[in-house]
Amino acid sequence: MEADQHYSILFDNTKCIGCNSCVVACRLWNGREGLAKLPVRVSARGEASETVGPVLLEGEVGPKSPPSAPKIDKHHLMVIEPHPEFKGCAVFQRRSCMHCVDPPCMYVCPTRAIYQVNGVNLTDFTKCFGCQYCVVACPYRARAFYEEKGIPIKCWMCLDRIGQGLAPACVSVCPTGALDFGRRADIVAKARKRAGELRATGKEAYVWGDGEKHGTNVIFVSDVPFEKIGGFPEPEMLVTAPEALPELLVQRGGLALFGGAALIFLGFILWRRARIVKAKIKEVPRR
Amino acid sequence: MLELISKELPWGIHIALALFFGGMGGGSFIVAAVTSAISGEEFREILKFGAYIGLLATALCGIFLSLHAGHPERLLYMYSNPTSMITFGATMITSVLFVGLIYATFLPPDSLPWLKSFLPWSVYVKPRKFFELLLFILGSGLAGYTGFVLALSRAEPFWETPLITALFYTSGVSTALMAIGLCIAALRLVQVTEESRKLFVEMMHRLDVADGYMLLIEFGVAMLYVYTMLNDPSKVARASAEALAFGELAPLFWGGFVFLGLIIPLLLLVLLAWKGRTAAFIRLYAPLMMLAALCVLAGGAVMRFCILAAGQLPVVK
Repeated sequence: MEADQHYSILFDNTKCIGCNSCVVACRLWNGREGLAKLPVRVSARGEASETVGPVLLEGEVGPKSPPSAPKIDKHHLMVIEPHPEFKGCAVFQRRSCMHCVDPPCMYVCPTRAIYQVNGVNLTDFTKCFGCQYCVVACPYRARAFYEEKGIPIKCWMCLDRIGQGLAPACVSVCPTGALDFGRRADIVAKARKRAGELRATGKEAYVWGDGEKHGTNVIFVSDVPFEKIGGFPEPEMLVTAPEALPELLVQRGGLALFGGAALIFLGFILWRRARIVKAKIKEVPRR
Repeated sequence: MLELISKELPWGIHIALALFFGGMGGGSFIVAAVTSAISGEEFREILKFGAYIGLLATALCGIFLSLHAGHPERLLYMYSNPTSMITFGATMITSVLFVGLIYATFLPPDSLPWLKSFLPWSVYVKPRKFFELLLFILGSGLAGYTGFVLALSRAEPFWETPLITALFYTSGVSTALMAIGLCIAALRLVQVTEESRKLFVEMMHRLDVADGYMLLIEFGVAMLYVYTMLNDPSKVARASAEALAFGELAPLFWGGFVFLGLIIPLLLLVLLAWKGRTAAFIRLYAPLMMLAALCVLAGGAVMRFCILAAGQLPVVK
C-alpha cells in the first residue's frame, strides 16, 4: 500500500488540554494491562487473530492504583506527558508508537516478527524472541517490554476498531479535537493546514512526521520546537533504512574491524622481528 | 543503584556478559590463529587453550543471549532477517561453534591419550591451518559483531561510532590473551620438569608482551571514545558520555575498567615482561600473571556493562 493511503493519526498539541481521556480510553479498549485485545497476529487484510490477553497471570494482580505519572509500560500503550520545562503553560506530548513509514524496529528484528499492515506496525508474538533489539532501536522509545510474557508491546492503532469503521479509541474520545484519524495524505494535509493557520496568527508552528523520508503515520503539530519538547529523536538517529545497512557495515564497522585486525597483526609482526634481530645479535661472536 | 539500572535497562547485565564472552570467544580463535602463523608448533598449548576457551566463551555468549530473551524457545527464528545485526551475530556464533569444534578435534589434550586414537587426523597440520584461517575470519566477525550490534542500532547516538567496534574488538582479543594466559600460568605451577617449566614461562612471556600492547591500544581507543563522545554534536551522546565519565557510572568506569582492568594489569605485565624471567621474579611470574589476567577479565566485563548502561541511561531517566 502507498504511504499516502496508510492509516494515520494527527496529534495537535496546540489543542491538547492534557485531560488524559485518550489514555483512559486506550486502557479501557485494550484491557486493563494494555494487552487483552492486542492480537497475536493480524492478517494482510487487517483481520486480527487470537489476542494476547487475558493478561493477568494466575495470582497476579493489576496495578492497585493508577500511577501518578504514567509511562509507556504494560499498562499504558500511550501516555500524555506534560513537559517539565513548560510548567507555566503546559505543553503536552503524546507518547506512543509513531508507526514509522520505514520502521527501524522492523529492520533490526532478527526473527522478522515485526510487520506492517496498512501502515500500522505490528508484532507477531508467535515469532518474537524477546531480545529487545526493537526496544533499543526505537528512536521514539515507544516500546515497553512485558517481562511476564517476554514480549515487547506497543500501540497497534486499535486495528480491530478500524476494521469496524471506528476511529482508534484515543481519537474517538478526544474532547478538543487534538486527535484526528484518517488516511495519511489527508492527515498530512490537515497538519500542514493547521500549521499555516497558526503561523497566520503570528505563532510558531512545526509539523513532525509529514516528510516522505523518515515519515511517520502519527503526525504531530506543535507551536513549540520539537527539540525543546523532548522525546523526539535527533536527526542522525533516524537512519535505519535497510539499504543503508550494508554501507554502514562496510564504512563504520568494517573499517574498525579490519583496522583492529591489522593493528594486531602489525604488533605481532613488529614483536617477532624484534625477537629475530635480538637472536641474530646474540649469534654474532664477540671479538 | 546498579541493580536498579540493570533492571530498568532494556539491555542489561545478560547482554553485557554475552558481549564480553562473544569478544573473548572470537578473540581466542584469533589468538590461536595468529600464534600458529607466527610460531608454528612451538607453542601448541596456546593453540589448544585458544580452541577450548574459544568454544566455551562462544557457547556462553549464546547462553547469555538466550537467558536475556523473553522466548528462548524461538531461537531458530533468529536466523530470519539478514538486515538484523542479531541475525548476523547468531550466524557468527553458530559458525564459530561449528568450525571451532572441528578445529578443536585437531588439538586433543595430552592428558587424554585415548582421545587421540579416536581423532587420527589430529596429527595433520595443513588442514588445521585452513581451519585457523577460517576461524581468524569468523572470530573477527564474532568479536566485531559485539560492537556492530550496538553501533548499528542507530537509536543510541552514544554507540554510533566505529570506535565502539574497535574498543570491543581489542578488548575481546585482550581478554582472550589473558584467559589463555590464566590457564598457561596455572599449568606452569604444576610442571615438574625443568624443560617444560621453561617452555611455559616462554609462553607466558609471549602472551604477556602481546597483551601489554593490546591493553595500550585498548586504553587509547577507550580514551578517544570517551573524548569524542564528550564533544559529540548529539546532546544525547554527550549526556551518555557525561554519565560515564563524571556521573553515576564514573566510579565503575574509572575504578572497575580503567584502573582495575587496564592500569593495574598493564603495570603488572610490564613488570613481568621486564623482570619476570630473572631469578628473583621467576617464582612470582605465574601468580602475578594470574592476577593480571583476572584483572583484565573483570575489567572487560565491567567495560561492556558501562558502555551498554551509558548508552541507555538518558533514556531510562
